[in-house]
Amino acid sequence: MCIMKAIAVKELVKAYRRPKPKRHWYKWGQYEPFRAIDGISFDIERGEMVGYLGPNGAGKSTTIKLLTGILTPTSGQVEVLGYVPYQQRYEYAYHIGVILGQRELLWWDLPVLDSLRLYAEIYELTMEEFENRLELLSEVLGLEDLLYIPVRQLSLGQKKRCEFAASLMHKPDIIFMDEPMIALDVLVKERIRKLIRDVNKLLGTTVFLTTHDMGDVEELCDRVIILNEGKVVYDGSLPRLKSKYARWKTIEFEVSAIRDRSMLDRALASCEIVRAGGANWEARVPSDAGPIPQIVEGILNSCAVVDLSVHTSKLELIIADIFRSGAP
Amino acid sequence: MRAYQLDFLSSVIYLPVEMGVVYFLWFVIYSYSGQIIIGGLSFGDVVVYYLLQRIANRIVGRGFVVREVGEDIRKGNLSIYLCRPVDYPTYKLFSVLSYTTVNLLAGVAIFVVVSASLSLWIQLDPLYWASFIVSILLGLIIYYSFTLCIGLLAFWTEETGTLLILVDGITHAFSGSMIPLTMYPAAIYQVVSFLPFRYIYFSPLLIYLGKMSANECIAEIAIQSTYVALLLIGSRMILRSGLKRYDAQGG
Amino acid sequence: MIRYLRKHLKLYIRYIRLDFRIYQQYWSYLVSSFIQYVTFTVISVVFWQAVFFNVTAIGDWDVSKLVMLSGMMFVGFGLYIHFWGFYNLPGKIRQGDLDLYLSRPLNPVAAIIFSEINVVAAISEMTTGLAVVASAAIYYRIPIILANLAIGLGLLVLGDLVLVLMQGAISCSAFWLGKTGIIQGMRDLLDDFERFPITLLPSGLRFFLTYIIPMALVATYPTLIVVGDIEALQITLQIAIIELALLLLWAVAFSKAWSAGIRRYGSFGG
Repeated sequence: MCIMKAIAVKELVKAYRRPKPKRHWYKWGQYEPFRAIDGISFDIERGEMVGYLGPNGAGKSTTIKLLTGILTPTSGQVEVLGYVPYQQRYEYAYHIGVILGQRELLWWDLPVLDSLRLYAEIYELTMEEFENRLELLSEVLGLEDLLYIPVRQLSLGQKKRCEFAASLMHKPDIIFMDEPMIALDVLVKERIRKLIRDVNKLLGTTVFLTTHDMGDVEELCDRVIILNEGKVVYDGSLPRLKSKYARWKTIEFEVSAIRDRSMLDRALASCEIVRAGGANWEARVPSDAGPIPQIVEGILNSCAVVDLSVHTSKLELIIADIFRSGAP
Repeated sequence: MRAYQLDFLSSVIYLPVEMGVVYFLWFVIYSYSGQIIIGGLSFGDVVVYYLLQRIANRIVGRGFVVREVGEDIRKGNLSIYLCRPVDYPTYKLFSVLSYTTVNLLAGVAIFVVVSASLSLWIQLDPLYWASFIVSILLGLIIYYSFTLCIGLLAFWTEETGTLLILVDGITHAFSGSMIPLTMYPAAIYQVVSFLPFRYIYFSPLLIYLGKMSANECIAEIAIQSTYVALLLIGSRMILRSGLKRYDAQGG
Repeated sequence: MIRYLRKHLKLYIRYIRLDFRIYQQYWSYLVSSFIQYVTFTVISVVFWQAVFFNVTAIGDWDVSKLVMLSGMMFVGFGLYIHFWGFYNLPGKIRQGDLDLYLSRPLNPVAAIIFSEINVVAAISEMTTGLAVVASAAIYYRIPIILANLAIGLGLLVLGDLVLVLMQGAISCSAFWLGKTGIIQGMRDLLDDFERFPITLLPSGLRFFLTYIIPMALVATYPTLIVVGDIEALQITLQIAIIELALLLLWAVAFSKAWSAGIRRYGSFGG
C-alpha cells in the first residue's frame, strides 16, 4: 500500500476560446481566450472529505471533469491516486466513482437489479463481491423493495439512491460528485449523506464534491475549497472558515410588544436590520463591532421578548460574501 | 412554430437528391418497359407529379399534429386549452394553417422556379391554378384533421405513435404520394377512390396537370370539402367523448 | 488485451440479453415494432406490384426480382440498425452521455453501440426480409442455390459494414459542429437508392453507388447473386475485393475521426 496523495493539482489551467461579443455585425469568427480554470493548486490526502464551492460559472464542473479525465488541461499538472486522469483514463476509471447530478445513469426500462449487474460487469466484480456489496448498499440505501422495479417507475429520490449504489459498488478510492443532491427531499439527502460519511469512515474513501447546498457542506465536508472565476480563493477547514471569516453575528428575536421604541432603536443602532416590524426581527452586527451583550440588554429592556438567540452568521452568508469579494 | 418554417426551408435543400432518385426510377421504368403512357400519365407528367407532391409533402409537416396532440393530452396541457374560449380542434388547425400558408406560398414559388429551370411543363390556365391551390389546401386540411383524430385517440391509448406509422403507411399508399393512383388495377382504384386519402394529394395533383375537366374539378373540390367537414365534426365528437374520460381520470 | 476484449464481449452479451428481456416484458414494443416492419414491407411490395400491373418488365428486372430486392433491403437495414448508436452519436455528444462513458472503465465506442443495441429490432427486420425473399422464391418459383445465398448475404454484410463505418465518421463531425448538418441529410436521402435496381442506372451513378457509397451492395447485387444471375456472380470477386479495401479505408477514417473528435472533446467538453 503506497502512501500517496489522493489528489495533487498544481497550477492547473483550462483555457477555452469563446466567441467575442459582437459589437459590429460584420466581425465574424472573432474569439477571445477564456480561462475557466486559472492556475489552481491544491493537495488532498486520502480519506479527506472536501467540499468544492463557488458561484455558478466559477469552474467547479470543469475541475471535476479535469479530475475525472473527461477534459484535458491546457497546462499544469493533475494527478489522482498516482494516475494522470486524462492519460490513463481506462485503468484510472476502475478506482473512482463519479456522480454527475443531472444525468441518468441507469437503464430506463429494466429493473434496478439488471442495471446494477451491468455496472458489476463494467467494473469486473466477481459474483461474490457483487452480492456482498449489493446486500450492504441495499440495506443502507433501503433498496430491497426497489430492486425489481423498472427504473422508469421510480421517483427521483429512489433513482438517485440507486445511482449511488451503482457508483459505490466497486469500492472506489475516491468519489467525485457534481451537485449530487439536486431536487432531493430531506429524507433522501439524510440517507445518502450518512452513507457517504460511513463509506468515508469505514473504507477511507476520499470524497470530493461540488455543491450549492449548505447542508451538504455542514454534514459532509471537513475541508472547503472555494473557487471564484477560476481561482482558489479559500482552502481550509470548515471550522476555520466559520470562525475566521464570519464577519457577522446575527441576533434573532421575537417580541409580543414593543414598550420603548426609541430605546430599541438605540440598541440596534450599530446593527444592520435584516427583518423588522411585526413580531419577528432579525439584525446583523459585525463580529468586531461593539459588545453584543449591551445590544441584547437594550432589546430585552425595550420589548416584551418571547424568544431571542444570537449566533454566528449562516454559512451561506459567509460563503456568499467570499463569492462577492474574494477572501478577506 | 418558427422551427417548422425553418424546417421546411432547409428540407428544400434535399429536394434535388430526392427528386434525383424519383427521376431515375421512373426514367428507368418508362424507358426499359417501352411504354409511353402508364396509368394515363407520360414520363413528363410523372416528373411534374412527383416534384409537386414532394414539395406539398413538406408543407404538410408529416404527422407532428399527432405527436403534439398526444403530448397535450398526456401531459395535461389540454386543461389550458379547455379554459380558453376556443374550440380545440379549430385552434389546432388554425395554428397549423397559419404557418403552413407561408410555406405554401414559398413552396409554390420554388416549384415554379424549378419547373421553369428544368423546362418542365407548367400549367398556364389561371383557373386551373386557382383550383389547384384550393384543392391542395383542402387536401392538407384533410390530412391534418385525420391526424388530429388519431392524435385525440391518446385519450384511450399510449400507442398513437404506432397508429401514426400505420396511418402514414396507408396514406402513403392510397393518397397518391407513393404512386399515381391510376396505376393501380381498376378494381382497387375504385375502392381506393372512396377513401378520403385520395383527396389529400391525388386530386389536387391531377387538377394541376389539367387531367380533369372543369366539372370534374368542381366535383373533386366539393367532395374534399365534404370530407373536411366530416372529419372536423368527427374530431369534435372524439374530443367530447375523450374529455369525459379525461375528467373522470383527473387528467 | 485479452482481458479487455473478453470483458467487452461479456458486456455485449449482457446487453443483448437485456434487450431481449425488455421485449419479453413489454410485448407491446414487440407488437408495435412488428407493425412497423410489416407496414414498410407491404408498402414496398405494393409499389412494385402496382408498377408491374402496368408494365411487364424493366430491363432484365421483373416483378419477382424486385420483390426479392425489397426483401434483401430489409435484411441489410436490419443489420444496420444494430449499429444505430453511431447514427445517434451527435445527440449523445450534446446530452453529455459521453461524460458518463469516459469516466468509466469502458470503451466509449463500444458504449455507444451497446447503449442502442436494438438487437431484437435488428433480428426481426432481418427475419422479415428473409421471409420476403423466401416467399418470393417460392411464389415465383425461383430456384435458390445455398452457396449463392451465402455469397449474396456475405456481400450484403460487407456493404453494410462499410456504410456503418461511414456513418460513424460522419457522426464524428458532431464533435466540431454540434450537429452533423447537411452531409448527414444528403446521406440519409441516398438511402432511397437502396430499393433501386442499381444495375439499371447510368454507369457513372452505378459506379458511385457500388464503389464509393456502396448502396448497391445492400440490396441490388445480393439479390442478383441469390437468383443466380451469372453476370453478377462473375463480378462478385471484383466487387468484394474493392469493398474490402473500402472497409479498411473507412475503418481507418473512422478511427482517426474518432480520436481527433475525442481529443477535441477533451479540450472543449462537448
